[in-house]
Amino acid sequence: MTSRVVSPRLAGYLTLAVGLMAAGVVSGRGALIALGAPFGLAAIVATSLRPADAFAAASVDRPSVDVGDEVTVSIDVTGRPGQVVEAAVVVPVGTSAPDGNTRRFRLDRDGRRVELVAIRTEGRGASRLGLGVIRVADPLGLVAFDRLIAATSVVRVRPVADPVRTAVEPKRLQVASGTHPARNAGIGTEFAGLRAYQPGDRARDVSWRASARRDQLLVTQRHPERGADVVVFVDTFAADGLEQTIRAGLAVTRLQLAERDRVGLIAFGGSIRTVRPGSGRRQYELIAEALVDVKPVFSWADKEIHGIPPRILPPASTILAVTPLIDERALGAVIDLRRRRHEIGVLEVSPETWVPPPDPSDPAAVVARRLWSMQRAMRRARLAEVGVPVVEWRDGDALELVLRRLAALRRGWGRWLAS
Amino acid sequence: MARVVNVAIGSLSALIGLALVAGGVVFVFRREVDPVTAAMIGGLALAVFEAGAIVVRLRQVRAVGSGTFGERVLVLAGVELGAIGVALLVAPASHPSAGAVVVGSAGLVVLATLVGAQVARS
Repeated sequence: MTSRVVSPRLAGYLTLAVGLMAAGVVSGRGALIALGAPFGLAAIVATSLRPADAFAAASVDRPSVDVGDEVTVSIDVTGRPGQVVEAAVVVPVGTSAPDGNTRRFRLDRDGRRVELVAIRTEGRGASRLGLGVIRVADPLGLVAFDRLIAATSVVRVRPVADPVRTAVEPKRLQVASGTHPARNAGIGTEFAGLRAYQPGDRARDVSWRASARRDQLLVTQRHPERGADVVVFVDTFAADGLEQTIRAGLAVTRLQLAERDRVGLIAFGGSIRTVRPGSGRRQYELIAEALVDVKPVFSWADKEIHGIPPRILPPASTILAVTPLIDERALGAVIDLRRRRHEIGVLEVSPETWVPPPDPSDPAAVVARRLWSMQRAMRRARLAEVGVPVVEWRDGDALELVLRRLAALRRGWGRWLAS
Repeated sequence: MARVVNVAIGSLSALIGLALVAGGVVFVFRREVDPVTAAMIGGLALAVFEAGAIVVRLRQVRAVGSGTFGERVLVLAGVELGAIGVALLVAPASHPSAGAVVVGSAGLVVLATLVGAQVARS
């Protein structure tokens, strides 16, 4: 679509030229005609040197990037050779253009030119890049033609995981091989104990030193390394703290996948999004992509965990819930999961960070804040009753430290699992 | 803020240009200036208008390619010379006065400023 843009200067120049020339004719003074002549000439030049039409299409170098990465938008312009073209691309919310989003250039001899605009991503989400307009104008810029850039691309900006090293150590393991030492003895690397040699034992398992001391053949038993199913539960009811929640969820995902676990995702909120547990790099990409579109959706619907398909929550899976514990429905879902005998831990993204402290001079606000704090403490107590350890994560604390605190708390999980 | 500055620059150049035109009209009626001088005053006013427009555009289109504004300045100079030619046609017997030389020089200074701005940008 092309639109013609006429500068207000053109009307002004025409008015001056016509007015001065008319005054010159009426008064019989040639100097007035000469005074208005430059404006008349400028208007004639502008209308006679009509700019030729040009076309532009935009493309991006990558369809999916991480937050903080740069995307290069290529604007391919074709038109009359040597023509001057201005191009401006829209910088969507959550992105910025460090080198500016406008370009002014001359087309090459073949009537084509590709200009690059770097767009830096600053927030998670899907952004349409390449939207914009090109403008071709006469040499004085009095008459111009604007044309929308034809093709655009959607770039998905994935969240970036916080750096962590402390992985969740699941107590319940699957039969697939992994990195967590199982309780039973079998083929593995971690020492489990010694027992008397039995026919059929491998010669390489014989502990020759122990056998020499005990004067009987002993074989070394080892713990086999098994994998686990870990499901990351992300509470998306609240808008505040959602980015922190998602970063933490992705960090745990990355770490557990590195531990060769199968990792799944439940984004639990006004709308529910799930990813079936899987392993490998592809699974990380799947979960990161799923988290791109996660946003708080307001809903009065009574969301329950019953709606989650069983394949998303395998038996004996370990669940790490990242939640601000604000919405009663998320709390109910966590308790429900625990009652289904899933091993579960809660990383509470503290809402204290984004709720300002009450005004001490306002007694009602102080009381309201105390009630709110008591309500939150009560929710934590409800989780503790069913055996769910909760650690609070305040914005600014390193996620690594919080996960270590959770790991320390989880040493008591076996007691609750037996209950 | 940038928008306010742009509006200020545009308004200032428009005011100066209109003042030049009005001054030219007054000169024509009171001092009986020759058409060449009047054409130069008109060309100077046009250059001032265009200078404001170019500076505002430079501020809007920050990432400027090389050599594109030079073309605009050349067209402007051509318009000014053309206007002087028109003036000579209108009054072939007249001669450039000292005032015409002063005004013409001022116009060249404005054009040189525009070229300088372009060179600095490119």
